[in-house]
Amino acid sequence: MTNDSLIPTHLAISRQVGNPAFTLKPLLPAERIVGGLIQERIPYLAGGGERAERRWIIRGAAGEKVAFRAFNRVFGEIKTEITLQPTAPGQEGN
Amino acid sequence: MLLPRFAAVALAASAFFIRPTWAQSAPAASPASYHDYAALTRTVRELADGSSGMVTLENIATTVSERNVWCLRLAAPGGTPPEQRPAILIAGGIDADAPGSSEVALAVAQRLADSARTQPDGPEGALLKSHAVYVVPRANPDGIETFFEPLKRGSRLNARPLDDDRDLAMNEDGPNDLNGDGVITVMRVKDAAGEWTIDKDEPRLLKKADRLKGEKGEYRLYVEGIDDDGDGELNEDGTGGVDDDRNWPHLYESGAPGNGPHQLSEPETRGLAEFVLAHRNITAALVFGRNDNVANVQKGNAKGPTGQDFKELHPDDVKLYETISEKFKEITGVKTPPAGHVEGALYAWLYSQQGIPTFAINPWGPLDSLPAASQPASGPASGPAAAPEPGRPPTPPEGGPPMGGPGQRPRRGMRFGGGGRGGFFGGPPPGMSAGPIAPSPETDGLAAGVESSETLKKWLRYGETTPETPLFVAWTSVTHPTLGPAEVGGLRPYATLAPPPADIPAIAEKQIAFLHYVAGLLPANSPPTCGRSTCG
Repeated sequence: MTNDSLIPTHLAISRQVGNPAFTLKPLLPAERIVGGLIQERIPYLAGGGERAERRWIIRGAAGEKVAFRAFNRVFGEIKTEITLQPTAPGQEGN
Repeated sequence: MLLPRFAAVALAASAFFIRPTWAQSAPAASPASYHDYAALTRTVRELADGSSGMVTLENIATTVSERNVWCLRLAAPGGTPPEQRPAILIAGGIDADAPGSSEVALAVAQRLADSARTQPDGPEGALLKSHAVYVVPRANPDGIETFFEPLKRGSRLNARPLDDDRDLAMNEDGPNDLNGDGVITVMRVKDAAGEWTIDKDEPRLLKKADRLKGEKGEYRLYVEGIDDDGDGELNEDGTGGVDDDRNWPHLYESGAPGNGPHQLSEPETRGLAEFVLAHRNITAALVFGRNDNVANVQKGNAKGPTGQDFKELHPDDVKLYETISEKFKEITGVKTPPAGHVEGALYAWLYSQQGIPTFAINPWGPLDSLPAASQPASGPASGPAAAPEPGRPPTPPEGGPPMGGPGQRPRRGMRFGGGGRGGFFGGPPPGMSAGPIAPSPETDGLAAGVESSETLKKWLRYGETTPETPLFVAWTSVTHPTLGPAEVGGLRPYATLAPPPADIPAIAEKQIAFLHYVAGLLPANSPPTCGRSTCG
């Protein structure tokens, strides 16, 4: 996730008062998530393009579409979908 | 292995540097006058009825006087439901002595709705497609309604009846219009034991005598009025009430006069709080009123009395506010309003306890465009009071709220004469046995309408440029029933917080430009970019 705006998703004061983080998860049954948490938290993203990265290892077939959902009670729901692509051995993570 | 990577936000930082096209829009027609509650209600209903679904109207609270606190929700129909869009809250009229703030908020709502309806692809149309804008044009309708009363008091209070002096009677000793000019100002009474003396550079104003320099006091100061209830105190229990901008939880000052029996004690403050809590999609707030935290950015080091809460800004938020402040001043031209009074203020609660980026805005800053003084300001030290202008409409700006408006509040039992901006003044009237006069919420801050300061001198200079709406009531002699010979004069109530009606559209236009700027900086939902995956 990236925040390209100037204002952070959570001001410093917002973090101090404990406003909730973003949650981020693949929309998959738990048994298909081989590595990583069922749901990740991203406390905040500072402005100016700060990026947060989370990784999972999931079971799936090449060409399959997998949906992800990020949620925060202020910013609402953000969904994206990716297509699993075959990768040559040794190229994982690039 | 999957690497989900998608943008939560896609607002380009380049928007920061782009000249806003909305600044070129023509201002709306000038309102004939300020809106009293009936006119406000008519206007917001018409706005909602004629908006083709762009505007919905909601009553979020009903005051003790059975007035509704209206909330306009502006959002283009279709697309993401408005409650799921990032929202910006605009609140005006929380400060009863700042009726201009309510007019500006209303004008902003009108202008946004009209533009978005007639030009759906224009800047306002685009804003209302991607965001929801909640406008509460008059958060304190009972308090603002005092602006429309025949006698202008400059009160900060709502209409809740309170027994301020604990004598089992309510609202029985408010100020009185002794010189018959329709406004409540200040009385000065000659007294060698007084603390105040005339400022020789600006003889309309007074200053504290500096006894270390051999200066002698000549006057005691009082709020214009008599001891209606015969208890030896002047004006200590007038109409109302509670200051709705001192009634919020952040650094709430319990027990201080006018702050209310407890936090969010008023239907209108409670209703607005409930509204905010129910709308978690509010990502930023603009609060129009007498406070400011954007033109004068606080440094963020001060803490509240417990040492735990930051009084103003969190230190790590200061740089962001400073950046936005520069743009605010460039867009609006408002550069030097008085700083905010954070204790119990709405804007402080929104920022400090809800974590919402909140900008407290005093939207009218005529002093910033005044030419430099070529010589010390001067004016008549005394003379006949300005006669009430015949045929003058009830709504134009007149009088002045306390210059120290956002400043300190008096505490019951503290002695008049403490001075300071927005402070306490006057003293025990000669020959009266009741001891020091305790200031009441009715009297709060009026001394600043005569206490010499560079800011007040600038306001006097500004007043000289608008002779049709004199800001200062020239000192005139009256005979007080208990104090004897006295003079009445000072800055008119509302003088600094009620811009001329004809100026409201232009002020609102600048605030709309700032609104666009803020909206462009906010993290917002946008079509996320696709993540990527690798399979092994």
